[in-house]
Amino acid sequence: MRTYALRRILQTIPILFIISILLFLMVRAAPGGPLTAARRNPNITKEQLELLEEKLGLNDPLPVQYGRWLGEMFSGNMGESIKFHRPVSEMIRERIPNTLTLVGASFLLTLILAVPIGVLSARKPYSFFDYAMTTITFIGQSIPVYWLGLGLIVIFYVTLKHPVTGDPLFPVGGMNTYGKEGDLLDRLWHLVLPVTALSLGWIAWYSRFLRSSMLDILHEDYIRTAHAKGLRAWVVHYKHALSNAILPLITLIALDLPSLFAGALFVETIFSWPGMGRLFWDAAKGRDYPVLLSVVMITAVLIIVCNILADLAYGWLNPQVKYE
Amino acid sequence: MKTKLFSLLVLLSLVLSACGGGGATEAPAADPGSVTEPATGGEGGGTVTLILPEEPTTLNFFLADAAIVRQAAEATSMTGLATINEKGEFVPMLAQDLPTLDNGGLSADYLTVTWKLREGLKWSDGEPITSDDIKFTVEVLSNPNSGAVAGTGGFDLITGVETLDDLTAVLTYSQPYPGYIDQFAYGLLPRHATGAAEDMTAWDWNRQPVGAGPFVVSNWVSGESITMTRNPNYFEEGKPYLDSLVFRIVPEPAAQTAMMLNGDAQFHLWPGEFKEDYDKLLAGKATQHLIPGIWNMAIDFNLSAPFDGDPTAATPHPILGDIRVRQAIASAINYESLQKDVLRGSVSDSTNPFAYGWYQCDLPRKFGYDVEKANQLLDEAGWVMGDDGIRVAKGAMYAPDGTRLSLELQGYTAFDPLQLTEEFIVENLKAVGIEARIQNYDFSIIFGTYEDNSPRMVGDFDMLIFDRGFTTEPQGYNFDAYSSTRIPTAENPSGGNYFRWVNPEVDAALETAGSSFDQQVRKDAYCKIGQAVIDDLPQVYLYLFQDNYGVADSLTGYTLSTWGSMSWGAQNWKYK
Repeated sequence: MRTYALRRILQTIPILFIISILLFLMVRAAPGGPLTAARRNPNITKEQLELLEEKLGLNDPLPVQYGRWLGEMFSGNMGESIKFHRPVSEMIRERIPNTLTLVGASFLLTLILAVPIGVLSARKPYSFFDYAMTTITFIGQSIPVYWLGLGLIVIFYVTLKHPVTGDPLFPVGGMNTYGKEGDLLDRLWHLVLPVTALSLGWIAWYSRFLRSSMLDILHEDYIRTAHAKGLRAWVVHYKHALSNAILPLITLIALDLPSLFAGALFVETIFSWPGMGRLFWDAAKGRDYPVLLSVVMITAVLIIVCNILADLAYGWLNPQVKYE
Repeated sequence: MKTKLFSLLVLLSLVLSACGGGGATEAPAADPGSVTEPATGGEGGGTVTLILPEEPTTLNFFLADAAIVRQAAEATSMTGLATINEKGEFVPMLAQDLPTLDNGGLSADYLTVTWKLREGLKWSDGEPITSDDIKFTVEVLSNPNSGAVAGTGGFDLITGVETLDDLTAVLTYSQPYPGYIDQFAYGLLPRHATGAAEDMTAWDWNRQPVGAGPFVVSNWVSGESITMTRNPNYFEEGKPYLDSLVFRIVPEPAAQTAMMLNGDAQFHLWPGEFKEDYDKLLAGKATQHLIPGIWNMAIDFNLSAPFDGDPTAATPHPILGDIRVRQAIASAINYESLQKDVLRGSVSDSTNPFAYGWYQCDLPRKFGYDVEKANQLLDEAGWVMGDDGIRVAKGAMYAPDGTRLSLELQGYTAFDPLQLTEEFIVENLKAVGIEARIQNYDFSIIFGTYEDNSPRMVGDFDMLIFDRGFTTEPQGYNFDAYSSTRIPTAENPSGGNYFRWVNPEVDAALETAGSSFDQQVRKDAYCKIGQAVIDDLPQVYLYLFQDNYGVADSLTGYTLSTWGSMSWGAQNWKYK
């Protein structure tokens, strides 16, 4: 096991190196550059732009620019944003807590709801509860998150009002009410709509997955044996069946973990939530290379790390799996 | 009722964004000129929330590459020696007076300018504002290593700054510079609260500016909001009236309008809805104001042959080289319907590059909408109607017989008004037997560089459609666009004369406009260029965009101006 883990970790080094080259080339292959918008600004002279282009080193050969970027990645501050003139590491550090709050809360809610829904549906397949959940989860999976978000705003911000104060039930977006920074209740109140929009699809996806995995297991011989031994139904279902049915889910969760860092662009945009998704998108639109490359590179690292973690966790939880 | 209407609008926009359609109805006429609401009554105090669609990258105007920065910076760090009012005139701010020939502030040889500060001025941190800060501002903006991009014009011409006393700075120029006031209308930099000129991009000041403006930044949550509170040291007695401004970054247009609907915001930058819909939806709560912007939409014709590997004006364009074809295109466009029906009054008419500002030239079109005239011109030019409704060359000036009258129309993607305009123009041209093929590229290709092989730079296009704009000092932009020396080529890769237009009279007028300090003389020269554009048709102007702002009806004292951003004059805002 330890040699396996070590080997996997060592393998990532060349993989990351290749990924970094590919990402760098892909980002640079996109048309335009960080100064395109400035070229349309009537307050900026062409001479000034040429000066800036030179200063940013955008005219250097690509391998030189790649080397410089790699150096900056290793230096720790990940370079400086061309648009914001701030260290990229600082910009990312500001966004991580926001993203963790939003995506983390959605993730938590998903697990809390998806596991019982999946198990209950599988315990009594084709029951009313199962059909109801099937319908709801299908809707949840089919509704585009963008549409759902706007719908939630129309209902809970514009239409429905507090019966006494007449205020909207939930805020339209942002992380805090002006003047209430650091107020936990206020933060939770701001989280309700975005978390709902983000988790509905996830809940649907996870609960369907668990339902089918659970159904497979419930037909296994050892479950019948457990029943025959006279164990209570809930012990059979939750102790013996669920612990096996949840194994594939672990992989799924591990693979979804990088989004805790990468954020959720649509929900962040609709609910004015300053997360990583929007940082990435703004950097992509403005061709802010240092920010863009850092975000995609970190995401790539996390995907690889989470893949390794998923494999290791799977082996640890399932003794049938042996690593050579 | 209103909430239903709002839900309907949201749904409609969702459907429309999926189908990419657009309706056409009669729109009310736009407000002429600027919008001024005089401050009346009210106790002062309170907070105004302003909606920005994206985050300002900095509050240092000189580092800004996008218009969004100014929308917030103008409330805090951009109060300079002078400012430009809603009429496009310079008015003194921190200076006692504007330096002119008459008051001796400008020397007879135009080479010495004397600025005198008001007495008792203080920065927002309480330190005095002195002539040394003027000197520092010049030192920074004339330093090529400062990283400054915007508002640097003319600073390299200043050879010396002498501070006679704490209030007086005397500037020496190496050559006369007509924009000598304009360059000081975007703010001063405090020496004591910034840093070295070469480190400007790293200054803490950029996000926490110590300024002379009415408000001071008190909190900035990246990506979410910027909060400013009143500057106790602001120089105008008793102002600002408000306690604070909160700039909220709200990228989703429907969420922005919902905030205005619920009264959670009072100032809305660039609403997504047309004025008619907006005012109906927000009746009694907010109103959308339209004021002339600086973005002037035109079709540029390539007068030289495309795809011949020669970016110069040497070979005429096989179709567009004949002025009668260009005249026919100009006559085929239904300008009024385009402005009123397609764009629903969100634009105003424009016939030439000088459509706003002190240099505005009100010149009539020579070739207005006249389908008959267009057909007649094309017949005369040797283009006969083909079987498929598209004309074919038969005895045309440059095109060999049998050439189809088919032209590419290049624009940039993801800008709805431009796409609506293109589709309308295609229909208009089809009606007179011209085929226009829309070919849209990403913003960054259309506005790319010569090295990137951007079509307009290397001259590989037939017709380009985009909007251009320039500031109160128009010489640099227009010299670049219209001088025969500015045709982009490998030797001259930054040129801006994309039409490849050579007109000696225009060259002479540019010379006059660039060397005179007399505004009337300069304006006459620019109008000569405007007339030449109308006569020669290197481009045909379609309309001028209006800047739109939604403002809560509870607010008063604001001025919306072509020359300022949303927060210009925030010291005068008040609740009714």
